[in-house]
Amino acid sequence: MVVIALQGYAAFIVLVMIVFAVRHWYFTLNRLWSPQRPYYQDLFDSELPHITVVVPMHNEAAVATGVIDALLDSTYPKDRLEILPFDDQSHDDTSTILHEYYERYPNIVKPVYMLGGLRGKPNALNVALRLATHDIILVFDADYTPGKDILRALTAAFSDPEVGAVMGRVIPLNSGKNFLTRLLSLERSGGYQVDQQARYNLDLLPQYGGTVGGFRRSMVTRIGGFDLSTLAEDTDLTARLFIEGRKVVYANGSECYEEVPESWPARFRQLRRWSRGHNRAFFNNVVGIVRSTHLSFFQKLDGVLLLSVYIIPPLLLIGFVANALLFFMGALPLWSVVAVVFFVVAFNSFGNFAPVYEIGAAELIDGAGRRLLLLPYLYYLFLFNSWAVTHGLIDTIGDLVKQRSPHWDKTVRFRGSNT
Amino acid sequence: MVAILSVTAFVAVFALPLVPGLFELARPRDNSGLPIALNYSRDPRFFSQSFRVKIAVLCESRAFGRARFLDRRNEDAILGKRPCLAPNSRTTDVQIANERLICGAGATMTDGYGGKSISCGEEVAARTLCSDGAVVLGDRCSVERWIDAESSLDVGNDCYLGMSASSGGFVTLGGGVEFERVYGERVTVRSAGEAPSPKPTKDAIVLRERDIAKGPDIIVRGDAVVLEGTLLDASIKAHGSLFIERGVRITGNAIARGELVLLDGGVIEGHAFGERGLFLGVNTRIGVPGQRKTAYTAGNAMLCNGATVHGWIVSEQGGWSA
Repeated sequence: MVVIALQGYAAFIVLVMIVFAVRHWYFTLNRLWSPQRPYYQDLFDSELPHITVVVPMHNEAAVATGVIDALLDSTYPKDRLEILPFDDQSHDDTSTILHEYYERYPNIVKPVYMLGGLRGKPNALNVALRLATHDIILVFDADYTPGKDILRALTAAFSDPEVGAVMGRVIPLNSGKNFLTRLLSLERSGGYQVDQQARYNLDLLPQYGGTVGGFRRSMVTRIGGFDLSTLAEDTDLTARLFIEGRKVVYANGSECYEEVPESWPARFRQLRRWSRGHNRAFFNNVVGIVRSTHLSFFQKLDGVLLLSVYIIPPLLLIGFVANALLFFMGALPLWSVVAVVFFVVAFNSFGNFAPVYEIGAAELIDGAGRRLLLLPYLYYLFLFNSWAVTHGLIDTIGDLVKQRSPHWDKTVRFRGSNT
Repeated sequence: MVAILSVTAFVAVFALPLVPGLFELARPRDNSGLPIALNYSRDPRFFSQSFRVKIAVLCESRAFGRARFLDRRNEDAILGKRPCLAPNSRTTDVQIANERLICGAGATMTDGYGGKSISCGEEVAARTLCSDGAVVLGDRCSVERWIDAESSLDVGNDCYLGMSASSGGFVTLGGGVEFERVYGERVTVRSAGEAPSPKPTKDAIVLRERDIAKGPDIIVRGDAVVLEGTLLDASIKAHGSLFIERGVRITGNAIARGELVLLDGGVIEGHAFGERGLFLGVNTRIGVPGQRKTAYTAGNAMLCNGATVHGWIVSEQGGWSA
């Protein structure tokens, strides 16, 4: 019985790897060779809509001025711009800094001080849904540096009445800091330049990433606001918008710098949090995606694969163990040997390295040079990621079993530090 | 011994792909963040504004004659008050006129600037043209890169306008004009050309006023037809082509994943976005006076006589006036 179960599992993993391999391979080819779907950045408008920009902050004194100055320096008409920086129970000088901005720009910068209650971005965004004056809400994390035109470019997406959310491109600012940041920079390129753009091209499910993006307040309110039970409110929102027949669009030209983790423990915690939230979004929305009457077959398939992306690494690790057990139990029949060989080949040629195809293609499009030599190192980053993601999956299962709400763990900032 | 060799060989083969990266890690040469133009701001008249900054020093000097132009090796600037290029003449120098620049029929030039105006006869070929006043192009002129006029831009028949034509005031296009991007307070076609009359596909969904009243915004999953005379006080999007019949008025935006066709007398007061093509029939209008909107297509655009866009026309694959 155990042997049959293990054999079935091994076959299942091979199938999953093939599906992901084809998906990544197709995305890469689409991005490289197919006509690219236009975004709305050319929609020039002398009467831009009023917008609210939300900047959630928790102990962000080191970076708060950077993001608010950049927003104030944007070309967006100031009489149509409202900035809501959220001081989410900070213990440093964040509130003092925000108050200074309020005194200088009382009609634009309107800080929100959250002194108690639930902490975390989803809760802050729910408060923003109530406090924002305008229907279009853009979100930037505190460590981001928006350019002068990005508010206009992101807002242009809402000219399309079907668009519920828009996502811009994130580019690491500190990519050259160390080995980890260089690998993360490669990962980001593949994820945005190829994966997101291809999904946008193919009318699949581009993902709202929670920052350098925005949403329509009315649509988000209509679907119940942000879910406090998940740490990945962005993925959750993406899924729920698509289930309701709305679109998330990707703006590849709306680029913004961010800071990526510079230490392995910080990266581990970030990935664990993402995995925990993303997997919760999977359990909350996978049935809705499959049953949605607004989505085509391929959109549903992409939605399920997108939501399950943080479940696959643990499944793969279990797959390795299952095959090893089968081997040592002498229960590896011929078909299974073939399956194992196929699995290993698929894993190494397509599955594991399919994202590497995407990253390589992305770097070529971006005009990168010698950084491409680091691509093979991503294999080791993948192993590290798998370990962190597995912890996140265990956390998710614990959350579901114990019916507990996860604790928000903010990613540590490195700007200004010498570490 | 064999075991040691085997293990060593295995490790060597496994580590081989990592070796080239070691050189980059040891001596990083490509480790900076991807560049973002943080100060970039989309401006339909970007080229000309940039050009004006570059020639400002020359214009302010008011010293007429030949001068070095920027760091260009093979091109000097010729400064004059009212220079005039003779018909069929050919020059490789940049013509800078403090007041009026006149180009005779058939003249060929590189860049031209007119402080007060530029007037070109028929079949003039230029690389760029820029004026702080008006610009008039005769029939069959061609501009290789861009053209900009601060006040008004009048384009004759069968001209080619390069990648961008812009004006701070009105733009008038004759028939058979080819363009990619045209921007102005008002862009209008004045031609005597015969307008084609496109037809919707047979399986397009027909939207009647009673359907549209369900609004606020209309989203159609396929091709769609908005029937003649409809008033739509909202935005509309079609996942396929959007065919808007005569006399329809849409107060919001019209978005089509396929072609966007606006037949005679139709009005879209917001943006018009046709992913695969854009057709503006006779006496159609995009935008409203005083407010600049955009008529965009990633495909080809065709504008018929009397078609007016208040703002920007963007046609990625090229467009023309009928």
